[in-house]
Amino acid sequence: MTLDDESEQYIHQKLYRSRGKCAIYACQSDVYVELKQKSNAYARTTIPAMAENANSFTLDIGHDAWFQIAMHLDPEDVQTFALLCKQTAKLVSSRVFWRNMYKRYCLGSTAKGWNLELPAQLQLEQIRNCDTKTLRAKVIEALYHCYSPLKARLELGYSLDWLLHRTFMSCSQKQYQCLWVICYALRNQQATAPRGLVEDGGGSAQADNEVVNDWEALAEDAELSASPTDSSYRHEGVVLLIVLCRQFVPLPLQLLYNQQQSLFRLKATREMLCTDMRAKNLELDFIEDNSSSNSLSVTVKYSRIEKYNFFFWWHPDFKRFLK
Amino acid sequence: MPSIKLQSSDDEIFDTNIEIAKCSGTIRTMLEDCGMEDDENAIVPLPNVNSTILRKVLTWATYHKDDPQPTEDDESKEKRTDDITSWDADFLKVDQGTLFELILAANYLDIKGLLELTCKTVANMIKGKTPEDIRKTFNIKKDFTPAEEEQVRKENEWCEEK
Repeated sequence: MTLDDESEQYIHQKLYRSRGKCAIYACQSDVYVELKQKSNAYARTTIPAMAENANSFTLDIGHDAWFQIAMHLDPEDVQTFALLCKQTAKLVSSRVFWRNMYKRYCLGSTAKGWNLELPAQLQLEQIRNCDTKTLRAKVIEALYHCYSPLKARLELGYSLDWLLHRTFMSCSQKQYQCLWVICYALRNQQATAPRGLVEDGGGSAQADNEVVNDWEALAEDAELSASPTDSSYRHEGVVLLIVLCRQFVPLPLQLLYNQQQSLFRLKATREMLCTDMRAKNLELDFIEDNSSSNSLSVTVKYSRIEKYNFFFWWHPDFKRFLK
Repeated sequence: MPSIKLQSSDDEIFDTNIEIAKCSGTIRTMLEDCGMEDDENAIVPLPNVNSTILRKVLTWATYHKDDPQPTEDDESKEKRTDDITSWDADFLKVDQGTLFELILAANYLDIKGLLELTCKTVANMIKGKTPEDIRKTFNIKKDFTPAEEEQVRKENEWCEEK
């Protein structure tokens, strides 16, 4: 092999292997540049596509503008705002949004910001150091104590339809004088509250027993996290249905004992007048929450009920019934 | 009457009464910190506000020059969204792009009154409408998957009215 051959081979190997946009072949007598073929994935937008994009005008509302608008929203418009796009949904989940909401609608006029309409656990001092999710839950609770449009909704009450499609969590009953008080706990399918909430708060105990390896993070978190009594976030998405009945009706055991295998959803409710037209019957249809055609269905019938009511997690009386 | 020169992002110069310009917290701070108050030839650059928006802002500031400055207490009070005066309502009969630019300008210039007014106006446009209607009004692209949308709906069911 001559010197020329060696150097040509060296140059060829050296340059051919080099990385870049071009593959370069170098010879002593002939040097040329060849463009590498690009895959379609990196191809630029074609002109017709660009023209199409230009025609579909979309107002680019930046984060700052949405942020400022969010800081001026009324509480009753929060859901609508959150449902606009991911950006607005994220804003509504932020700590600053809920602090601002509390400041605008729940802060009292005393020097320490105490609001006499609020219970102790919802005063500024108590919620200041909560984590964001607990803060959110507490501000919502506080709004139902002191923001008049929301308070008015509680007085009007809710229709039974609000309970539909919620998942059964637990059921208990207690005798009070000559009445049986039956309490159903239901929750949103996508809510994060643990099961068995009403009875023993087992989810919380489980969370407390989790092994933590990152001690620094734990120490930081301890400063931010709320006291053990802060349980607003655990209850989020939960609704209690309270039925008062003179007759004893056994607890729906199929619902209670099948919880490990499957979830039950409230499919339908019926409130019917008794034949003597002096009282009402209440029927609750639960259905197993799976896609198969042979889903188990359970109907619970309460005849001649005295009264029923339900309390969402944001209701001022929710925790009273939870106890 | 002492005046000050404000320079917009597109290099237009606005010769403005210094008291009107000072309704902006940003300009007030710049004047005080840089000692520009006594210098009549000093130009205050406002790189985040174009001339169209700055003109609107100055029109609003001129009309509201005698309004009392909002205090800390006022800021924390419950904000009502239905107390916009007819002059302000007419002032804000602009296209949506201008309205949102006014929000950003008011925020940048730290003009609390204008910021509140513009945000209230948008909050009023949202009130009583469905998310779909609002998306159409503001040309917002819906970027939720159905599952995400349902999740957000359920998380915020506390403010639903039925």
